[in-house]
Amino acid sequence: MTWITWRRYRVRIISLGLYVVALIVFMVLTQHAFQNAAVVCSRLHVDINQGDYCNAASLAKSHGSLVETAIALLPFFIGLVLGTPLVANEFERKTNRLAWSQGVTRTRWLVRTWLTLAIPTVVVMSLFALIVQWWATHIVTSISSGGGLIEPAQMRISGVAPIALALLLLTLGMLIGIIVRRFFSPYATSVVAFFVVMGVMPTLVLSSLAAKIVVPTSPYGITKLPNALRSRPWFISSGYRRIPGFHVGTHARSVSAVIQYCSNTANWMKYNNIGKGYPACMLAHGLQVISIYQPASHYWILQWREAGLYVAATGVLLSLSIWSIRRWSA
Amino acid sequence: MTVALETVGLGRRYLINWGLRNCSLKVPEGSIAGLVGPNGAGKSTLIRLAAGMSKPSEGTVSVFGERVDPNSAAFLARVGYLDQLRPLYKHLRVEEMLAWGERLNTSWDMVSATRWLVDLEIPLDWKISLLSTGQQAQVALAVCMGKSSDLLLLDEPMASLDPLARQGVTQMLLDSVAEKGTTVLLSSHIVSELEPICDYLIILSKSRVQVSAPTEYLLANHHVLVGPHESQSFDPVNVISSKIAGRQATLLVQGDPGTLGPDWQVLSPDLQEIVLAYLAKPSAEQFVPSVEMSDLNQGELS
Repeated sequence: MTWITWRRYRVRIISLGLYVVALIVFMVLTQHAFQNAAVVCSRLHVDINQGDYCNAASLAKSHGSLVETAIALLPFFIGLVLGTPLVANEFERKTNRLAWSQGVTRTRWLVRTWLTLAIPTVVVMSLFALIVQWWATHIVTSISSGGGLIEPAQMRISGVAPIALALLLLTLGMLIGIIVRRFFSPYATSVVAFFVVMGVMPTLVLSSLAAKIVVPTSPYGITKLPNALRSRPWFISSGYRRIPGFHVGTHARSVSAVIQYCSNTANWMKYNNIGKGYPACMLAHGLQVISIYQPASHYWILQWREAGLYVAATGVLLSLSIWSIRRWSA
Repeated sequence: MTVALETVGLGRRYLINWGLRNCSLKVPEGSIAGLVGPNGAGKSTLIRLAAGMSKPSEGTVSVFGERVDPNSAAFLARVGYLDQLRPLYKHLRVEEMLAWGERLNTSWDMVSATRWLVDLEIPLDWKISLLSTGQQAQVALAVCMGKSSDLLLLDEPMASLDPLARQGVTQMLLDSVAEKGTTVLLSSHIVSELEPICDYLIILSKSRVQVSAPTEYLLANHHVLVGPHESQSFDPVNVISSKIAGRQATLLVQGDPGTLGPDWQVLSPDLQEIVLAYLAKPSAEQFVPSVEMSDLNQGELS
């Protein structure tokens, strides 16, 4: 089965291999561009970490972000090119009837077929992750204008999570090929499902996988970062929190009413004497402006927890795939 | 004699239609059972259910006394299945396809499988996709036969084969039964192909079993009666077919014809006549002897 799967997929595997090689070439080229940009910008005494504009750096960054996107899409392509057709093609060509009438059980057949692609996926993605780690670190250290490796743009391509994501999408594609083929196009369904997984994780789940650090803003609008956030943290969002026990005044019965009130220039101007307008106004009405961060030190905790979630989901999806083919007719 | 394949009240529903219904039969071990019936009668459904490729909607199907379990390695080792679509990994060469079979089956007979294809002059180093439809069918059959199973379930194995290859397949099946005691259930539309090799016959019509009996018993219990139609009356239940030309009637009757007038002749029908008569009359009384197989093969047939 290992050999037959390899024979069936060798063109697809070689194509993905060429994609990986092309990514490595682009990473090397852009890394040089980053280094040059850093040198040029420093000669001009431009500190891009403070948000100053430097043409060379912005050009390198735009090229870099294209490569970042291409790297981020690698697990997606693995899922779509290898995972989705893994069993769907067998059903389409009815070769599952041939395979399922041989001397190996469906469970063994599926697991071995899956392993044939899952093992190379993990090995190649692991080796590739080392190169990406080197590249992403260089982007951050040379021309990053704020966040470090922990920012979502870097998190999604570096570390161990992309390896587990590739495994998850490979398995999800396989399951979709088994179940959905009866009703919809497995490829179209896979595209939607993969984008949902890749979209939901960094935006809704990732930041909550480790304790966040909440930093209140002073009445003067100054955010003093604690030591834990000195080293390129991931700024997640800003918001408000109620000051416990504060008596809510006549102007503000709800958070939205306070925000609306303090957003009015005429209103916040009244509070300039006790601080800086808006935050002082908010504070006077029992609401504190806060910023939420993940410190850079949480990078590997988040990476391992994200990878753990993907691996656990992979296990569930593989079990569902086995259950489905054991149950369903050929 | 033991039973290789047994179904009890077996049925399979596809959405609102039944592909097979209330199918109860026994195929004795070591026999070659022919399965005939018109298109849509349920032949492929029955074979797929017996091979574990499909799940029964009602009833049971057992192979060598054990319920069919497609997730059991023991079941898979004992049953060989040839799908009517002849699926093959067409990107492989013929010899690679056989090697694949060898890897997946512990009792693989590479010598027989290879010899079979070499005898038919099928190039082993060719890609399967380059072979003709008939040659691909032979490769599929070789993969099925190479498994050396105790029960072979062959869905129209003769389809798309030339007459010479059909003769070869027939001989191969007979050899396999003689050497290994293999039980074979094969479906076909062509009764003349089955007649020389089958010792058991199953006729399916409109998703139900019409006939399930050893061929010798079937032949011994059906008669062609020829005589003047107005001179004799018969129980219509026993008459499977009747043709009247002028004064003369030709009837195919089930069971003992009883005492006939002097103008009546009793002839022995061939299998094709019996099959065609049953297929033309789906409402005919079921001919499924209730006696045990041992009796069928000894007392009743002697």
